[in-house]
Amino acid sequence: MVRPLESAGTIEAVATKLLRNADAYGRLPTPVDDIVAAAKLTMADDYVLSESMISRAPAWMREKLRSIQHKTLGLVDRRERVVHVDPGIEHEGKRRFVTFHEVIHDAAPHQKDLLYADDLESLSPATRRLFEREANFGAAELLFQREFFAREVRDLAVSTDTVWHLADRYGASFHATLRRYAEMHPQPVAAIVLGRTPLAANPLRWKREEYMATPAWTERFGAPMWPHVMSELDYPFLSAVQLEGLNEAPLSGKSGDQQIVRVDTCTNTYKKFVLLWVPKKTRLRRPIRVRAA
Amino acid sequence: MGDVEKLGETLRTIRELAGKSLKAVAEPAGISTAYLLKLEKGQVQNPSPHILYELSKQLEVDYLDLMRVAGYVVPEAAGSSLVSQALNSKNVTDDEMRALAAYLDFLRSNPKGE
Repeated sequence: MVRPLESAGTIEAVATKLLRNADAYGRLPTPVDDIVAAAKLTMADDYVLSESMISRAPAWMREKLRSIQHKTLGLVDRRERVVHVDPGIEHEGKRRFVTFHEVIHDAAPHQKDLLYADDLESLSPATRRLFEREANFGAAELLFQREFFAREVRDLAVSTDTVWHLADRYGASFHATLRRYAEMHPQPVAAIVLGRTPLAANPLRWKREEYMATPAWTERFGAPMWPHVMSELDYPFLSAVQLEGLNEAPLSGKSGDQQIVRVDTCTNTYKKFVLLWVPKKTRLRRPIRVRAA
Repeated sequence: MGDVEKLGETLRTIRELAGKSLKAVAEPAGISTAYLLKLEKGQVQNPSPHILYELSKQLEVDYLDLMRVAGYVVPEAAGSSLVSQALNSKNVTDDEMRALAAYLDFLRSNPKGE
């Protein structure tokens, strides 16, 4: 799992202010234009890295710009106060995320105030990576409207179907929604992202790309440390991947005790997703006693 | 002296020149006095830029200067400013970043691409 951001509180405050100023709380999916306006930015009419724009650049730049074009999803030109997002991004949720990512770059004061750096200065690679993480974190805060998402998931049954429903409601990709879901759910919930196809069959082995877990999961099972290659022999819950449906599997708890976890899996075009959780114990209601008069 | 020690010494000197106590700077900056003390002693590896930003406000010094001392803003030998635009991209080389910065400067001075 990724180390928590030290600046999370600052970025959350930035996102809260933008959501309030845009009057966006409760309006789903989060309205992009209003957030951009609240940040006092505008969306570019012409994408700065489109072929027609690049063709206007001096010849020596064009080759490098075309190379950047293939690697870039968006950028914010702080001097011109304009956000550029690659029009080739087809998924609306991804476009929304990229736009919010750029907005956060501009709205986070400790990033924005570096605009006036000398023309011969740059950010160190580690600082650039940190600012990227902050922008991703802030974009998710805007997309899922801070605690609004957490409040909603409390009342819904845990399943990948619920994640699909939430992805649709928040206008986000399934992957981004699952990540949020498995970080913020109040119950013990974890998620694993695997490659689309197994590395080997018999026994099944998968490339593990990412995983996340809720604090309640970590409390019960310890912080997960799933390896880059996962086999169903070591992790029996992975057998459920082939079954494409709900299942149950044993998993060792923090104190070595065996617990039963629910397993639900699904697939999109690029990845396989595994959702794990501990089912809630249903309370038996006491019979109502009526006192005789 | 490394960046961390230099930053610590800079912070302590500025604070003492301003006649402010550790508490008077740390509290409004949202950090503990113990953390500020560790920072001043050069015992914090990679202090977060958002903390330097808050400290710059409390100490009334240029944030950019603190970022330079911390080694987060570095000289760019042969390029244009790389910090006026933020990219959402993967594996863009320094050369490409320079070309992009020059291109944006070009567009600003030639809005119609003349």
